[in-house]
Order: sequence, then C-alpha cells, then structure tokens
Amino acid sequence: MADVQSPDKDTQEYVIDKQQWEWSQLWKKEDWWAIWLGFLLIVAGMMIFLPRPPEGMAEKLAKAESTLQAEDARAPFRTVEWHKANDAKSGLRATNEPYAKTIAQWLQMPGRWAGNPLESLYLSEEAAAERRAMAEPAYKNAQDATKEALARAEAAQSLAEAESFNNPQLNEQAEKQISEWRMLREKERGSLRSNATVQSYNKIPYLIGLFILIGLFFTIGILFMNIDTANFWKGFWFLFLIAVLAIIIGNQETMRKYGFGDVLWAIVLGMLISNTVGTPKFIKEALQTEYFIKTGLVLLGAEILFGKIISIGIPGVFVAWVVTPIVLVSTYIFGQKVLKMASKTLNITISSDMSVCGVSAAIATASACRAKKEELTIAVGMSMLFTAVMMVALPTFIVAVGMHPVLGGAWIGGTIDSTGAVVAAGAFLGETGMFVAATIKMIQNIMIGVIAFGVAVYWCARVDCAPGQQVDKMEIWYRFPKFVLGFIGASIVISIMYASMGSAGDVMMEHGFIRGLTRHAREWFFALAFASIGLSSNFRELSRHFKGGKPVILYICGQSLNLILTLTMAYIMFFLVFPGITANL
Amino acid sequence: MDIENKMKTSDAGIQLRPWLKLGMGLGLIWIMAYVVLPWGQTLPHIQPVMSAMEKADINAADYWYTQSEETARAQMFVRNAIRRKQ
Repeated sequence: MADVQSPDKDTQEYVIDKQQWEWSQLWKKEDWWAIWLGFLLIVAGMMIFLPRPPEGMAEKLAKAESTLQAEDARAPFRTVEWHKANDAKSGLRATNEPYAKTIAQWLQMPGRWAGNPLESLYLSEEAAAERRAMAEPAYKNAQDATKEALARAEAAQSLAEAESFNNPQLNEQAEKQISEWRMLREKERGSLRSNATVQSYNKIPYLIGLFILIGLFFTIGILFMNIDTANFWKGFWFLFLIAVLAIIIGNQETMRKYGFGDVLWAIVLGMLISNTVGTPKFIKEALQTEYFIKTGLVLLGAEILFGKIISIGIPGVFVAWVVTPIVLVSTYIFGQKVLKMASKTLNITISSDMSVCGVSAAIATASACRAKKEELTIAVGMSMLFTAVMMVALPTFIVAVGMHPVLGGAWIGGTIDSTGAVVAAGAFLGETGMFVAATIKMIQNIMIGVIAFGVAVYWCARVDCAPGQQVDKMEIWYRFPKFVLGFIGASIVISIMYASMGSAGDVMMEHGFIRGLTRHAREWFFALAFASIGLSSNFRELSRHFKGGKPVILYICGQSLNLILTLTMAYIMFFLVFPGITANL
Repeated sequence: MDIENKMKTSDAGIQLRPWLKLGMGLGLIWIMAYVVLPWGQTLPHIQPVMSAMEKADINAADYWYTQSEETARAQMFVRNAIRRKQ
C-alpha cells in the first residue's frame, strides 16, 4: 500500500515526498479514479432509487409517526400499537421494491452453508423443499406461540387501559406480556424463518455477470492509468475467483458464528498461495490493491451518515465519541513512548481498529497513513481474533454479574470491534441490550470519517517529514491522500441529503441505494482488495512486525483501557446523568 | 543411472513441496472449520453465546453497520423509544 515510508527511528532514514501538483493526476492516479468511480456509483444509485419510492411512503410514514406520538402520550409504557407502528416504520424500505431485489440478485455474494460448500452457489428446488419441510413445523409452532403471546399482551394491555393506566401492577403486567410477545417474535424472525422460507437458487450465472461488470467498471480507470488492460483482465479472473472462494469460506456457518469473515479468508488464501506455490505472474497487473480499496472507501464514506450520531442521545455521543478518541490517542502514544514501536503506521492502524470499529477502521486508517499491506493484514487479523474472544467473554461476564442490559449493551457496543460481533454479544443480553449495543457501535462507526481525515492530515503535516521540518499548506496538499477527499465528500453530501429527507432518508437512502447498491459493491471491492493484499504479501515480512510481540501488547493494553473507560463513561451517562433515557429503553 | 534417477526424484520432490505446503494449509483450514471451531462451540462458556446467536440468525462477521439488519431495527427502536416523555 505504501509508497511513502514513515520515518524509521532505527535507520534514521526519512523519505520526504517532493511532490508537485499536476492536473494530469486527475486521470492518472488511482486516488482520483477511486473518487470518480465511487461517485459514479453513488450518483447511479441515487438515479435508480430516489425517483422510485415505495407506494404510499409519505402516508405510511406519517401514519406510523402519528401512532407513535399518540401511544407515547396515551400510556406510560410502549404499547402493542406502539410496537406495531415502529415495526411498520422500520419495515418500509426501498430495498423491498422489485427493482431493488433485481439489483441485489446481481450483486449478491455466495450464500451461507453448513456442510456442502456448493450450497453457497447452488440450491436445487428439491433441496430447498426438503429444508423448508424440515423447518416448517418449528416455524409454525413459533408463529402460533407469537400469536398467542400477542393475544395475551393485548388482553393485559386492555386491563391496564380499563384503569386508565393508573394501576402500577396492571401496567407492569402488561409491560411484561408485551415484552414476552416481542421476545417470541424475535425468535420467530431468526433462523426459523430463514430456513422455513428458503428458495432454490443458482448464483453462478450472476457471479459470472458480476465478474464482467466489476472488471469493466475498474477498466474505466485502468485505461487511463498506464496499466496494461489486457494483462489486467488476464489476472482479474483469478483474483475474482480467490475473492469468491474467500467469501464462500467466510459464509460457512461456523466461521460466521466466530466472525471469521471473507476479509480474513481473502488474506489467508492469498498468502497461502503466494507463500507456497507462488503468486502466478500473469495476475500481477490485476493486483491493484489501492485502486480497489480506495474505491471501496469512497463508497464507505457514503455510509457515514453524521445524523446518526444523536441516535441514542447525548449518552451515546459521550460513550462513542469521547471515549474512542481518548483511547485511540492514548494507545498510539503508549505504542510510541512505552513500547517504542518502530512503525508508526502499524501503531496507528492497530490503535484505530481496536478503539473504533475493527476491520473498516483499519482499512480507512491504513489507507490514510499509507501503511504497508502487511501492517493492515496484522491489524485485521488481530482484530478478528480478539473480537471472537471478546464476543463470548464480555456478554458472559455481563450476565454473570447481573449488569443492567443498557449498561452492558453500551459497554459491548463501545468495546467490541466489529458490528456483527457486537450484535451477537448484545443478543445474549436480550432485545434491549442488543439494540443499545448495536446503536452505540453504529455511532462509533460514523467516527471513522473524522479519524481517517485527522490521520491523513497529521501524517502529511507531522509524520512524513524530518524532525523540525516545517511543512507549508501546499506541501500538505501535495502529500494528502486525495481519495480521503472523496471519502469525506461523499459522507458530507449524503449526510446532508439524509438529514434533509427526514424519515424518508431511512427509506430511500440508507435502505435504498446505500444498503441496496453501494454497500454490496463496497463489500466486493474490499474482498478483491484483501485477496490482492494476500497474494502480494509474504510471511517473513509479516513476522518481522511481530518481533517482541509488540502489536499484541499494544492491542491488549489499549483494549484494557477501552474497557475501563467505556464502562465508566456508560455508567456515568446512562445511570447518573441521563437515567431518564435508560428508563425509556 | 541410479544417481540420475535419484536427482530426478529429488527434483520432483522439490517441485512438489510447495503444492504439499498449499495442501497442508488448506487442510488446516478444513480442520479449523470442521474440528477445532465446532468443538469450541460445545465448551460450556461458549455454547450459550453461540446458541443465542444461532437462534437470532446473526452473522458475527459483519464488519460494518450497514451489513447488519439488526442495526437498522435497533436504531429505529432506540430513536423512537428515547423521545418518549423524558
């Protein structure tokens, strides 16, 4: 990844960029092509999705909103009608429209499987029918149980209402019944429903089509960037194949549960090949790691919606946006001053992935400070391993000590790296714990935009220069990784649009072109990037960074600080300063 | 003749070694997926968390919030819940 080396204290060698601005960079550099292509996809997504809202969207949203307000005023607890209106509102999505389903079908990744890897690509009608038949009785029982629980909840609520919601015992009873109904509903929606409604599929033709589409998409830039197009295509099929294999392994049931996803397997498969039989020469031109990763990052920028920061009020801002930078900076300083890590880029990449949000933070930070491929690999690998451990250990501890689910959820959301693992750990605490954990993590995800920008500026102005060297503004501009402008620009533009659309922003943007188009594309680009990293990395270089176990010590010390600060802040915010918010959750 | 045959055999061995290493690497992935990790799931402290995850159909490998369906539901719920009479 890195062209520019960080100052290395051991060697005292400083590679100082003497760059100059040339207009031709706009069409010759992958930084700019990442921006053009990223925005091309975002604009295409907007043009497809925004003019085609679900039928009656405005009326349905207004109806749900007025019901929520009326129910808030009517009862001291969340009524059955409140939950139904909330479900109706969150179920309204542009991604449920037929055109969006067609797009999703073309962009979908190989699916999940348990024993037979071919099932991730192909499922016959007979096999699907067999799976449905096996799951249907349990699903039917779950549906019946949910219906009965709903009837009990409605009856209990009616009794409470008959007393004008002034009888605390009846209110408590109604709340308990409603909570039970929600719990059973959750159970019904999970794996039972997905197995009982499984349909046959054949993803192979779509994957072939997608290979051509992604190849053509990147060829647009390749044509201008002095890369041999024919050689790119010669190797691109192999790279795509490795990415597909990585996704298949990552979607194996056991791997999904531990959180060992496609990104990890893309690196592992790539490294296995490059360090055993060797990376075939014919794919060298296709290993455009930076091009893939930066285009993916511009698309990731579109998913950083700043309006979400206040989703859980001020307590969430404090837990996710105050603790996180403190931990990030402290861990970085600890790595430099105490551990004396030779590589600043490895130091900041690990600090960022540990304190912010794992893989995505590692990608964004490593690209912003031009870390080496091996450094990104180390950060991602360590994040996944520690996440798997924390995903089990943290909720087990929280339940064992009887911690409040809001506090436990906030703790999980602020400390476990990846979103999926946060949701999994939160689910162990129940619905409230899971919702709080997932929301805190989402707010923390948004922070990566600010951190990537900050790291890029800091590296240009302070790190990539000799001690005492003054860097003027133009020099910072020359050195600045330009794709970060696209990353931040996409975030700002989409955030403004999202905020101005109100509730329709969720329906048409987040659950429209973001989750329906750009997110899928971004996942593919990252899978290609990591396969490319694996294929061009070697074990020896990797092990060099592990000398003295410094990356592991850094991660453990940083995470320990993170655990202490997050728990303290969550307790202060949710129980001492804003107990009203906690009571409403 | 013997020396020539031995040299040919050792050349073939050298050529085969990388492929054997690749096969061993893939074998390790297989052992991890079908032996080590499934066994880990049966351990008393891990099993309850894994079971909750399985029932809720959660993919722990989702690394960003837009990949997770639960974050969308969580956000909607939390947003609507905290604006109630505080």
